[in-house]
Amino acid sequence: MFDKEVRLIGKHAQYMSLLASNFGEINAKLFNRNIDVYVQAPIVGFLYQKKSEKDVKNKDSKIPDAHILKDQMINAKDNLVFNMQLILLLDKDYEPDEEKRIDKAFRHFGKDEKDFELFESYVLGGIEILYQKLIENAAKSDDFIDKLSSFTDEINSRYYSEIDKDVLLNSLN
Amino acid sequence: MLLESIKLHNFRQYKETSLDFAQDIQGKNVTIIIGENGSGKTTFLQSFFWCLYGITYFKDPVVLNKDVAANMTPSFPEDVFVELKLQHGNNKFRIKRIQQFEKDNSNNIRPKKSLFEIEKKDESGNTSYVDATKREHTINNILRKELARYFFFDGERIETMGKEISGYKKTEEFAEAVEGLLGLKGMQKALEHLSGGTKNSVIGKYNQRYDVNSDSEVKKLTDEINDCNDKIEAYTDSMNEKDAAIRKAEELRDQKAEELKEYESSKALQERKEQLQKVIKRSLATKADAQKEICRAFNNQASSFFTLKLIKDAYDILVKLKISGSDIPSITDKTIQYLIDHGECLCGRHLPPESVELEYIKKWFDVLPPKSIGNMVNDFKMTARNRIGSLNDFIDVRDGKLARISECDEEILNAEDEIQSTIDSKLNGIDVEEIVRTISSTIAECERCISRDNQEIRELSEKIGAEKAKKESAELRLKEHALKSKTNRKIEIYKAYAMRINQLLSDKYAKSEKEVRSRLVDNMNEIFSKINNGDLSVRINEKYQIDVVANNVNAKVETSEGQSISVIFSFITSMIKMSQENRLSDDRAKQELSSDIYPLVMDAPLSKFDKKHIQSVCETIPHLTEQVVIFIKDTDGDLAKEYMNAKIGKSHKFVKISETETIIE
Amino acid sequence: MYQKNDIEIDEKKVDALMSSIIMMENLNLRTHAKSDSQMIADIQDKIEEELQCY
Repeated sequence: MFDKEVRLIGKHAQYMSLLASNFGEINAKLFNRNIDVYVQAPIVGFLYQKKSEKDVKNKDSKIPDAHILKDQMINAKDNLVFNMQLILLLDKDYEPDEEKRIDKAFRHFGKDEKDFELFESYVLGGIEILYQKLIENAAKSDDFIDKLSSFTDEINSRYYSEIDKDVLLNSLN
Repeated sequence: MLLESIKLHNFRQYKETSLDFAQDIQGKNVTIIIGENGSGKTTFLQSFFWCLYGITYFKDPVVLNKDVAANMTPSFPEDVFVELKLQHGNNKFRIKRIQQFEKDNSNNIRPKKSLFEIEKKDESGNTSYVDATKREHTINNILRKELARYFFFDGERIETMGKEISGYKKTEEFAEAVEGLLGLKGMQKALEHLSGGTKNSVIGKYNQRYDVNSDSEVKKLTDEINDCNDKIEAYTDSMNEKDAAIRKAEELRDQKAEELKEYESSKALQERKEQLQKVIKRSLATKADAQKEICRAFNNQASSFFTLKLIKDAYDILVKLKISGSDIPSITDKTIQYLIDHGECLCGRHLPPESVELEYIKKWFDVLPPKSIGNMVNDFKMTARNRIGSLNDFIDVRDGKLARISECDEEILNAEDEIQSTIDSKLNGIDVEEIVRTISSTIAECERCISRDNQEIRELSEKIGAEKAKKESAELRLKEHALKSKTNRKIEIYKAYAMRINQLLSDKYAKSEKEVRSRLVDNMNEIFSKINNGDLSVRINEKYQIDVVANNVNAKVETSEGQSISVIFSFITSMIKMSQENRLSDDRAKQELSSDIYPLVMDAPLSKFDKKHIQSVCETIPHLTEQVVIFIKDTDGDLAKEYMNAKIGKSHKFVKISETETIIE
Repeated sequence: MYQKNDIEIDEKKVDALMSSIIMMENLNLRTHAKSDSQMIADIQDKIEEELQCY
């Protein structure tokens, strides 16, 4: 797992490319490379509870595929594993039983093909969310920055009003 | 002198015109004549001069009406006449001047006979005709030629004077009046004749009269003196030229400086615009940097940022687990399985099936993966810790940068706003710098010329000084020498007297001029203050430049057109009054004037007076002299009627029929 | 008596000359009979006549 080249097609490929390229007149990037999108996308997909399927309808269109090289995947493996474990631990719809979720996340990690499919569907859903929230309809740098600010505000206010980072940090020790 | 009527026949554009004057019956002493410029006012005024003195100021000496001139034939000459009826003292006069014109065979008009008659009727009714030899004298007794110009004052002269006043130039009319009318001209002429020219003067001629033949030394000295005089004259002329050039350059420079001021403000605007554009550029750069930094922060912290909540929730689950782990490093479930399969512990002891030892060994599975997830959880926790640790207040950082961006946006907006609303609208696309450069270089050029000419003037002045010194020393030597010769001694005596007379006369002139000028100013102020309700006074300096001063603060005010007219007006009426009072002059003829009354015939540009003064002007006019004839424009007719109605005795109108004919209604 | 170097000047004569010169000038201003050079010559004559008299 997470040791092979990844190839996205169709609209997800397009979205991923856009998320990882320069935007606006200032030439800044939201995500440095495709792999960075791939690492964050499942989390975003999970937060927004959005899953998606491969975009096979557009197979004949001229949209180029988006690639992530094998070496890049291997370097990012720890993060990818961690993110997947988080999802498996917390996705109650997928597995209502907490014990079983713990098993999926740790004891039996990577053994169920379906778990991986779940992960991938969140990846694609997350890419769609990221595109919609960060890229769609934006043209000038100001637009992108505005969208980024709104998006991060949304997440911040939805989840982080009661979390104290230091408390959490201590408790993990 | 009181005017009764005038009749013109073929005099320029007046073919057959007559006009009665208001005679102060029931206090109505004002005659108004309405006519636009170009309708014949000036010509009309000139007809007075022509009738009385036979002079005109027209370029064309042929005063015959052009239509008549065109239609006449050589066999039939045509007449021009102007007949003036007036009253002077107790006598009534009818003055008629006739000029006959004839056409020659080449179609040219030539003046022929000229006739002048003066009919006089005394108070008893006896009529007589003035003898030819006495006619000029009679006219001069009625109204001296030099004075005439102050009784007949036309718009052009008013305009010229007005320009001189507002341009702070020497007002020629004033200077002329003071010198001429009031008795100083004679003195001035005497001074001119006595010492005016280095050669052409009494003193000059004496200098040349030295008996040059009798003594070569005398000749030598005389030549030297003449040479000095020539040089002085040449240098003086040169200096005057340079002076004029300097004045011209100064005028140009001042004019350009005024122009420059207008552009200065444009230049300032352009500079401000460039400054603002720099601000905009800088702000855009700062903004771009802030935006990039937001992205960078996001790049670095996105992971932590997105997963923070999930990590907490995962922690809540994991904290409930009793996770036990193994301390022994690198021991796996395979190790335990191997030991079980081989039935032997690491220490060598057997592990028989169902034994206590075997059960004890099997317990290891509980603490080893995959059954035990302790290590995995620890790894998980470590990753979690890293994630949280690297979260560096993304939101705060982002907000800080957003605030900076907001500031930049506002700076940019303000700058753009200023450029658009205040600057671009005024600059209007002109290349201010170029224009300013051009004007500045013109000014610099003027300054160069001015300073160069001033330098040259200084040098000339020195040269003149040197020549004068040389001349004085030569004159001294000459005098010593001359005294030795009898003839030359005589000349020396004459010269000494001439010089003494010159000196006394010079002093007297200066004193008289000052006195007369001050009297003129006092008289003017009497009238001027009536017009201005006491707010303003007039001052004239020795250069005949006019200042208008506000009485309450004793400070000079800008001379507006209306004020200039008021000044001129006061001047004319003062002249009339002063000529009646003339005490300074010992000229008998002038004293005869003092008991008589005179009309005032002039252009009254009513609309040029300041609005608040029109009424006082109009109220003053009828009282200035016993008879007033004023020319006004059509448009001023209503003003005149409004303010002077009670005083208007007669009203006429000039109507221009064609280029060659005007009639009076 | 006013002395100018070696020459004695009679002020009475000076005053008399001044008056007559001014009168001549004023007359000429009216009649314009004489030119400048004529006037200069006349003034010279006046001066010399006055001084030659007793």
